[in-house]
Amino acid sequence: MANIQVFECTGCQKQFVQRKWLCPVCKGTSFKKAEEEGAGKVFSFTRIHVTSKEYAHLAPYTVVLIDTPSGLRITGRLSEEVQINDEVKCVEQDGDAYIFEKV
Amino acid sequence: MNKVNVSGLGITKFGTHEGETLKSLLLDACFQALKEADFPKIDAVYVGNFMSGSLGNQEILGAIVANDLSLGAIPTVKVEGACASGGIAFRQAFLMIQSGEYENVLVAGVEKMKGAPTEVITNAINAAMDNDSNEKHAGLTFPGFFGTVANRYFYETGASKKHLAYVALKNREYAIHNPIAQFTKPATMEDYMSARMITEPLGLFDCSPTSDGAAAIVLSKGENGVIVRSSGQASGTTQMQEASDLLSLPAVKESARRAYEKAGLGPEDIDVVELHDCFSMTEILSIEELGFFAKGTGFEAVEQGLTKHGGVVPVNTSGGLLSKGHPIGATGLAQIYHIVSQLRGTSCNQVEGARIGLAQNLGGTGAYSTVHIFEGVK
Repeated sequence: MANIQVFECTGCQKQFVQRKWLCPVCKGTSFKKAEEEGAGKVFSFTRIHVTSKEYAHLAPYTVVLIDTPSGLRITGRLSEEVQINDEVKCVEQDGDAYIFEKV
Repeated sequence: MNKVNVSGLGITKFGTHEGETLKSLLLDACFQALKEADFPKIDAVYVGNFMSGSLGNQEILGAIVANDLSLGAIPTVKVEGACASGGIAFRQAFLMIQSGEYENVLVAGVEKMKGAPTEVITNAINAAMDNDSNEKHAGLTFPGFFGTVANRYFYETGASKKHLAYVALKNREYAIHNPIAQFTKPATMEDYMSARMITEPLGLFDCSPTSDGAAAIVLSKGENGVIVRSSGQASGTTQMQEASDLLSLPAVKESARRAYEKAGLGPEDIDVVELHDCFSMTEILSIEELGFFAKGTGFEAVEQGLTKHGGVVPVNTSGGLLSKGHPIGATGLAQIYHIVSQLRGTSCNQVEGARIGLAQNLGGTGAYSTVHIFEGVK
């Protein structure tokens, strides 16, 4: 299983998948990098059939919105089909994309 | 503060304009609007456009309008706000007249999208997402955002694909009577259900097309014909994974709240609406966010025909983006063109006695929204 890199506010410990400059919760300005387990449940998804040139060789593929046990919501990609509430895990990081598989 | 009225309207047909350039479409629409306004002294130009640089290698649209229409050495601006470029351009023009800086302003919107391959267009449209993110690198597309929203909406409300169809088929029925619309052939539920899949559950009829087209409006200080009652704008989330509620469009809700408040009106006062149906799913969410129907019930409203003539409020009587077409930079102004026509009593699919109209323009995956409210004062 691969981990997800997160940015954690040193003031309120809120975690973000994307880098922040100002914490939307406590307005803190200091963040540290941390790693979270890349596993969770499918909140929603879409199976993409028509896409841009750089992803055309992957189509059809599934983009998923995952809720992790630690309260993060992360967008990732799967090659297979899924349903809402399916359990998935992150298996690799492909460039800046998180790739998931069904558990 | 000054009152602001619409003194001229111009629009081209939406669809494929082979042999026409972005510039000729833009100038055709501007010329029509100036002519209808009887060529007032224009103080400034605002042009809404999203892709003239990426698809056509053409910028300086404002200066081109001033130069080619002999408007003089006046200030001009191109406004970019993805699919809300037109609505944001209109708002700037309105505020500048309202504040007293200008008396007559030409606002235009244009896009030339036809001719480029779909994958090139898809890539250019993806510029409306935050591309420096893991989300973009996952392969999420712009339509894919609304596909993900639709699957969750179905899960939480019990709606299904047929509800998306009711939106698409309603807008097609309206487009049949709109002379500038891109799609004017009748479509059936069978056509809808058998169309190819784009991003599940959205098929071809759920997605607005690529289009060429332009629209233009002259705004003037005054209180004649149709006046702008208020303007609201808001920003929203730029990434799907950061939306606190995936089934809401906070920018739509907030821009509407501001516009209603400034006008001293509410959803119950609105007689006719043009809203941003870039996807069928977006229309269902937006009729909820604009306050016409309770959250999570928009799909029932479309099933019951409450967004047609004789319902609660007719929505997208122009055919909407889905069937009228969606030349991105022109869309916000084409919506206003249609609402003003409704309030003048000269529209296709005329809503009898319409006095107050609302136009809502969305940019990105909910990143921008403008709401403008109009009143026919005769």
